[in-house]
Amino acid sequence: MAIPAPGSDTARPLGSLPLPARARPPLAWLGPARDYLGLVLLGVVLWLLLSRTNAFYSSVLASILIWTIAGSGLNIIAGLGGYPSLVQGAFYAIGAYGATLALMHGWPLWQACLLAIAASAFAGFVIGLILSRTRGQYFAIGTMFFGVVVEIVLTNWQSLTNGQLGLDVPLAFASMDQLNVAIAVTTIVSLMLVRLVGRRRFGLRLMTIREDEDLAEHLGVPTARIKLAGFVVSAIFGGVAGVLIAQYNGTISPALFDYYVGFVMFVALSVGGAGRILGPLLGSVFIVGLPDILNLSSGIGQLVVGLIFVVVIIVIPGGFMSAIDGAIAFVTKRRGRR
Amino acid sequence: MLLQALVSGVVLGSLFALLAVGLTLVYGVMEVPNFAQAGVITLAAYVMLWLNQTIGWPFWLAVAGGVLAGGVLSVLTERFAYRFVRTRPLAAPVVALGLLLVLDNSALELWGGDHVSLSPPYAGDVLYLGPTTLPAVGAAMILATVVALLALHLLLKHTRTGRAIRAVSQNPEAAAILGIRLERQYVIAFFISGILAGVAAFAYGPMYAVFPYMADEVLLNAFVVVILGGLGNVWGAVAGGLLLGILESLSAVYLSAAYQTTVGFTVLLLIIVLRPAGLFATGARRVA
Repeated sequence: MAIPAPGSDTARPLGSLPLPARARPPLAWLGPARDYLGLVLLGVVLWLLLSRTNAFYSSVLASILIWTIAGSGLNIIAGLGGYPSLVQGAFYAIGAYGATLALMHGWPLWQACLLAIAASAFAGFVIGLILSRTRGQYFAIGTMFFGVVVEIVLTNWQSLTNGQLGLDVPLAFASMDQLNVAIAVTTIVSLMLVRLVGRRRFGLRLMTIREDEDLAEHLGVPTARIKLAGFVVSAIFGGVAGVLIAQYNGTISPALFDYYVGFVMFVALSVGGAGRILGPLLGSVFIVGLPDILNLSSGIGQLVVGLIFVVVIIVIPGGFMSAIDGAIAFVTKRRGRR
Repeated sequence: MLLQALVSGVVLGSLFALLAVGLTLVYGVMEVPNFAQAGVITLAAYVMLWLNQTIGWPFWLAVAGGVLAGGVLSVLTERFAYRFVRTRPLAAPVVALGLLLVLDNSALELWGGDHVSLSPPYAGDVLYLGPTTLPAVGAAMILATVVALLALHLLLKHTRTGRAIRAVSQNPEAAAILGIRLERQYVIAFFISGILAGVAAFAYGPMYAVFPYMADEVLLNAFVVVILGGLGNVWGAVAGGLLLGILESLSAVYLSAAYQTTVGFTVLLLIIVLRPAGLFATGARRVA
């Protein structure tokens, strides 16, 4: 995979990270601003959808967007860095519980958010340090176990988390409208951050690690430090998503955050397109939104969802984003020939 | 108290070892974390129940049928899913989870979500070993594990097929150059792993209950064992299984049952930090 030199920030199709040269996309004269403008526009559309549709669709969209935030974080370590982290659900839980406990003690919202960020970053730091010597499936299994442990702690630390019964979240936003704005803005900021990181040295180094970690080390990439930083950044996104889900739900309990959540977040990213800016959004629409809308909750529904995971991953290795790329390339090629 | 905990630890450890060996064998040849193994166990247990109680086959024949069904199912997961992601490590966990959902929920759709019991003819019997007691189902678990692992040992060490499997797990490219057909070894490894899952279903079903998600949590422990022994290391998995079983059983008695899984996890953590290649690493295989 060709990796452009830092600073060669030419415009590319929306939602793609550096790829081998291709035809100039429309609006290329806007430069990098094009992607950001596109994301702002997307944010406005999402906000309109959140606030104008009926309560059911709005809540489905809200969970999709919150998953997109967590998934964007995962996109950094797993998408750019190529490390299959199955623990994103734990950071999500830590953010939710951290912010909720802070609010219950009368902290203002911004302080609660800072605490949630600090707590998830710290957890990410510790887990990242412990798993720093593992790669591939060892890393996947190791991270999965941290997800299990967080779930066990949340269930059994009665005095702090109230066990299975969970906590009632003190609502910190004045109205649903404000919360909707916060969700839409955070989603877009997350997507923009992934777009930014993907073109900076940090992102390029992560991608070098993904392609060949040993070679990256030889080329002078401080792999251990970069991986750890990537993991901590991922954790922070997860924590922020947790703050929002707690506020949106009004109650939190360990059942919302079992280890399976981290697993499914990884699946959502892979199905949407790992390493692609819009991958987490597309994946979340599919994994979170579709089962909700079609009311696929148990039994046959789960069976279908599982089948979809397997088929999508086998048939479209790059996820939906690469399928869209393929479709666009197909159309433009036909037009060019005419 | 201590002796009793040790006995139940060995029973638990046999189960872990049985599962871990299947996982590690598959990991050895193909490098996939086979979470779907839990689904194979579940379906094998339901097939045994169905053959025994609905069709009316005698217990042992039904068990044989269930074990065989486990092997076939496991091969099907390889043929229809895993073989397409062999060269894509990031896709393997996704496919594994997808398969697990498909298998568990097939059981839910076909047989419902109730807890039912698979009761062998020796269900209520208890053995007295000095001051400790061992339920017959626990003894069956140990016996089944010993027999299955001995058979596996003979297969791996003394047959052409076994040598081929070991060759593939040491170095697939070199094995292919020497004329070993990789596809065939993949199928065989998955078949053996499925058979072991079936044996686990036979031993595990009567001890707890049969329901669609019966094996999910046990499988997590099996993964600890696999890492404890070193991914791809069969005898490491056996030793690791017994070690973890005894540790968890002791901690349930002397610490708290709620954190029993956490003990397993703490062990995992120590191993990953101190000896990332597993307790019994030979140095032949790098931690990938």
